[in-house]
Amino acid sequence: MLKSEKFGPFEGASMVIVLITGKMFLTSPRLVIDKSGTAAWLVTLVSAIVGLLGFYIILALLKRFPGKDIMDIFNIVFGRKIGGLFILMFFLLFMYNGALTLREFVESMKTYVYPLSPPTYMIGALLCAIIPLCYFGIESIGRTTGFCISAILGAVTLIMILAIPLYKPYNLTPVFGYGLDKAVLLGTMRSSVYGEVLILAVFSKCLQGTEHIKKAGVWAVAVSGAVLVLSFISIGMVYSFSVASELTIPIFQLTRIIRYSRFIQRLESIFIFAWSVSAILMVTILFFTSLILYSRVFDIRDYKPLVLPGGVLLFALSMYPPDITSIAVGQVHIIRQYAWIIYFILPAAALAAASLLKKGGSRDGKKNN
Amino acid sequence: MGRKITKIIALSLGLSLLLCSCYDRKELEEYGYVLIVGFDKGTKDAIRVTVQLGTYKNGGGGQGQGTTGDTGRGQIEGAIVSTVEAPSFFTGLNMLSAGLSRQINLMHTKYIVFSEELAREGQIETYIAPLVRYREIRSTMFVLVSKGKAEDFIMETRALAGTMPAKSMEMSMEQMSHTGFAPDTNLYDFYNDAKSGYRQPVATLVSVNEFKEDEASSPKEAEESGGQYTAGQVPREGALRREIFGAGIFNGYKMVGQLDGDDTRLLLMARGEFKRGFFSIKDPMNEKQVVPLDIRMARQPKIKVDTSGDVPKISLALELEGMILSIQSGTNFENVELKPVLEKAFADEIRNGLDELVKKSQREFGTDIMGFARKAAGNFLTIQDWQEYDFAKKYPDAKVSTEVDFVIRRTGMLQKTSEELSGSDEK
Repeated sequence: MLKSEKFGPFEGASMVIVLITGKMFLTSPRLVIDKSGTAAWLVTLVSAIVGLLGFYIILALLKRFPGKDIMDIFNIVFGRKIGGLFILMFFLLFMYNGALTLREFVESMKTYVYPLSPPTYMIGALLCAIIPLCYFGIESIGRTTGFCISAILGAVTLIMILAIPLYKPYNLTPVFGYGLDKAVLLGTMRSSVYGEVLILAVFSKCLQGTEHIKKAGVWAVAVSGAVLVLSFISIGMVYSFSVASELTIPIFQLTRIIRYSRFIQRLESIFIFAWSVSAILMVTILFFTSLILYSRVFDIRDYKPLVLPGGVLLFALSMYPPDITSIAVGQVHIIRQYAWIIYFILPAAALAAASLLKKGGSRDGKKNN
Repeated sequence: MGRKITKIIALSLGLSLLLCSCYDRKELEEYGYVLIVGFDKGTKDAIRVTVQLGTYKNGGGGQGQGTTGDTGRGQIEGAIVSTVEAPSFFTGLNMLSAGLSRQINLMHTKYIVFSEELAREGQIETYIAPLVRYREIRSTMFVLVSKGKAEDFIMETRALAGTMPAKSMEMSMEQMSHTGFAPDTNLYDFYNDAKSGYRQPVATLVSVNEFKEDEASSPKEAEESGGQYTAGQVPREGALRREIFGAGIFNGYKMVGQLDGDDTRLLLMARGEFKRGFFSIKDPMNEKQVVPLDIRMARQPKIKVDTSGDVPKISLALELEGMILSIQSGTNFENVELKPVLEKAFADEIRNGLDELVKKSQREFGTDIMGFARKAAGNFLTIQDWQEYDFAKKYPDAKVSTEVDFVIRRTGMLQKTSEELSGSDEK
């Protein structure tokens, strides 16, 4: 069902970039600053490096099984039952991540922009955009993301440039925050932020060969890492760590204080556009990926009948958390901190198992069994 | 065909619901926009909240010559002032709505004013923290401390010219970048400084000028700099009675002192926030005359802090540049020989002033208002080490050396002051 859909490394990279950098517009950066102090930029740099290593593990697995996607590979390596169980874990992670992202975005919008709108109304409105996009398929989603990525990254870059007069570099000292060891450990744990690079393995058949996957993955992690590091540096130079660790969405509040005389101010209106587009694309990609994973576990040939019931499930799951605190400090934090076990360790286990069981070809493409 | 038309109609109806407006839609006229919020100590309840709401009609046109221009208690040109005593700020806003037909909105608030009494008691924290949390509040609003009651200052704040009081308020603060007589502290800066420990906050000092010049204390000769006043004391008449002059000094959220216009300029120079100002110094060749100069910062101040010992050693170096505005004595300071004399005289005056201000900040205020901690923090690798050193506690004993370099870059539209050729009186 996905074989007929094709997209290039640019679209693939764009989807991963949106998934990774979109988190900057949500609540988790606050928590990073809270835990690392002035070294938040260092934490995300370490996360990017670990995320890149994780991607190379996924890439090695894909290279071992040319022309296969990660669902095929898991079925080959672990068998249909255990492989299916692992893919089901991927499905749960992507579906719940999508639902949490949706709710997190809605709660943030309610906090800053629409205080009166009920969450159900806002989630419903967003689903009106997400569900049709899923019907159009991954190629359309990829191309839409590729079209929007320049606007999203452009808006973030513009904000960082316009905030230059507010930068106070001393806010980034002491340079190692609560300690270099803590920053490195936290960065390693939070490599889950870059874990969504796994979608390239889910849609590997839509990309033309592992070279394209490698190109898309490396570029995506590198660009996302650069954007996140620069964003943390910007926030860190504007707000002292003690203040930034209080702000619900630091980068949004940064846009609120940019002011060039009386004429250029209240720039959050530009940011809200990029923020909304980014959130819709994030949830769409996560939701669509989860549908594909689910349909493959249960051997459902066409995912389209799953879109509407899946949408209802997404709506219900997104309404599950009782408040923004339980989302930001609880569930999102758990996903950011521990999802690397699913994103990177499972593919690493599959690679190790394939080597031990001598399944699949060697890295140069020759078949071992 | 029929199904297609049904789908189009259903889609159109659905979109018409979504596209007409958002759920949070409000018409502009449904809001009452607060331009200034003031906090005084309450008598019947915890606080006395005063708000000035823009009416956007009959605005501006300050009456000048010291008249208040009141059109009745609570009404001034272009605005309505309303006061309430309440247990908290937000309850106070709700209580104020009882007398208004519009929903109070803080999205366009320009000033937040605290009475000196509240600030001295350290109660600002109680009100700043909720304001920073509230979505309607923008951190770009200015934080002012009123020497008298905040309510009185709000009653006297209006547009001097034009019809837009909000614009007038912003422009009033922009004047500070042309004079340096007061800091233009906004809520973001104040909150950041109060919380961070990199430097202590300052607020803009304001008051109401009663236009009662004290003849006895007025200097007879041009011996003073013109910046020796604080808000409410400037010997002037006309224009608005509200006055912005000087700075309120804080240790955390507690006000510990105030600076006059001169000291505020020096403080802004040390913090790297001074933009421009006209200074008058005594003529080094003729003490009865003054030389007005237009001064700017040549570059950001260079601060070095040595934290290797128990007592921090701090060096502060300022580089200033300026232009001669006038030479009352007629001395030819433009020439190569005399220019350094004037430059040294001004640099010495600024350095002496800085030394005095540093002493004042260490002994009188006991607070690092100049922000030496900004540099000191860079000497440490971790926050734990930095906190353990406790710079704020050591600052009053710190050894501070200052250095000022001043260059006259331009001499205005005259490059030479010639002697009079005609006339019989000898100089």
